[in-house]
Amino acid sequence: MKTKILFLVIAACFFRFGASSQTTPVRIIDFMVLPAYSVDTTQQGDTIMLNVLFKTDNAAQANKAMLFFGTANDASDVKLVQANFSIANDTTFITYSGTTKPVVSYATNIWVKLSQQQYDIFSHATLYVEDISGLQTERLYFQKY
Amino acid sequence: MKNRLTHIIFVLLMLAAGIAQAQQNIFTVTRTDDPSPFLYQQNPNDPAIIGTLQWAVRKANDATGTILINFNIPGNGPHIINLNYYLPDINNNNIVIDGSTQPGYQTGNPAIIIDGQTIISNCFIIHDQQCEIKGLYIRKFNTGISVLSPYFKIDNNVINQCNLGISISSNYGEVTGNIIGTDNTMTGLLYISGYGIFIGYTLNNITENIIAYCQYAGIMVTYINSQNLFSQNQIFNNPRAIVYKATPPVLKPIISSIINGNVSGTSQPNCRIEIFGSTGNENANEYLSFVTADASGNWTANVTTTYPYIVATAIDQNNNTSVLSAAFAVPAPTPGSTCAAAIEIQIN
Repeated sequence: MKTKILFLVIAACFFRFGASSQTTPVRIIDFMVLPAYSVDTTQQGDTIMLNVLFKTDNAAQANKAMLFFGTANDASDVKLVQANFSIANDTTFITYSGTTKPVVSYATNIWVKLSQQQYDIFSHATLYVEDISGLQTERLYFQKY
Repeated sequence: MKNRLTHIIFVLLMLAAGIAQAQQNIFTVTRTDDPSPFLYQQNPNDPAIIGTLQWAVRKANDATGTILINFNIPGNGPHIINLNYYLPDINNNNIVIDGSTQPGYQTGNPAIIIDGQTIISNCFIIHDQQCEIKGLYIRKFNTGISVLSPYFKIDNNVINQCNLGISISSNYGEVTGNIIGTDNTMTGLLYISGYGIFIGYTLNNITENIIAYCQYAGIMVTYINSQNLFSQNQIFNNPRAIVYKATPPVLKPIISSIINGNVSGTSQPNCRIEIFGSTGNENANEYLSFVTADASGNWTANVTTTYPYIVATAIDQNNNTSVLSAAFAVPAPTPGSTCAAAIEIQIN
């Protein structure tokens, strides 16, 4: 009986250790959202283009970036964006809405179009990346002034 | 009793000094390299990153109180910091990044050059209140400085070889004494390929800057209710000096005559009229003087310039600033006019 209990305790410890070691090798830092102004002064559209910028370490193991625009941290009540990572010729790319950009010097760019109304409402943006094993990075937050 | 009082005063003084010290954070940039940004995340005290500009910005973002990033890179300058990675945004308030602290700094000729090597999108992104960037030479970025938060100061920097010099998406800012699109030699080789200053918001003061060789325009304003002040800037050799995406908020003045140095014209009533020596339309090469228009919009100012033309701007009571007036040719001096004036004064 004693041996059985000891075995169960050791098994439980191994299980916990195994679970806690399941962290993604992908890391993200320096998340920011910048309005990108058009140099075309004749354009009068009701949209704002945003340059979403963050650094991804081990981007080759990233699967998708999830980006929430909302009225609070973790909220996606304004817009939810999924951008997908891919690899070609040893270069990692990220694609969103038909636009593909290489990840260069960790810098990962997504261009997101919001309507003026969406831009006015959104106050927070939330970002995380999911790797090819389905594990998620920590969440990064950006607050709009 | 006296000893006790002295002791208490001493302790209080020490406490006050300690508090003052705790609130004063100084991070000094001592090297020009730019290692992996993930080193700091692993260990903020990694010797491989301490003393870099990136380290200083990250430490400043993590600190509390008044924060100064200064520079003390050994050796003869100028010192070039080639950025391999974009810097974190400046996301703490009261951060001052002061390039004038580097030995060898001179106004208009900074001793610290931050180079984006045409691969980095932004040099500095101001993302919290009351931050200041001064005394730096910033080149080869997509955007030199982007501003997302209010009460900022950008002063005495040189910014060139970018697509956009300064992008402002906030208010209550001061942009003063910068050289944009060229350097202190006024060469045209260091041009900005878009706008010198791009303003997407209201209530900013843009004063005493040199903005030249910007391939789209010197200053572009997209915010309709501008209330952005443009005063005493030298704006020249751009296709357009000041451009509004919508209708300009105040009419440009009209210069109607120049007689014996007296420039006269009309504008909207009670505007401040700033007068510049000019090489022609869209050029405000030399700030000369200002005058306030009367209630009928008439104004006259006496100026002297070696430039062949005069241009003017009008600034209303809300600091809305017009585009440049049409250039008005300065008449060639009439022979003997100086004597005539002298005689006139003598008679009077």
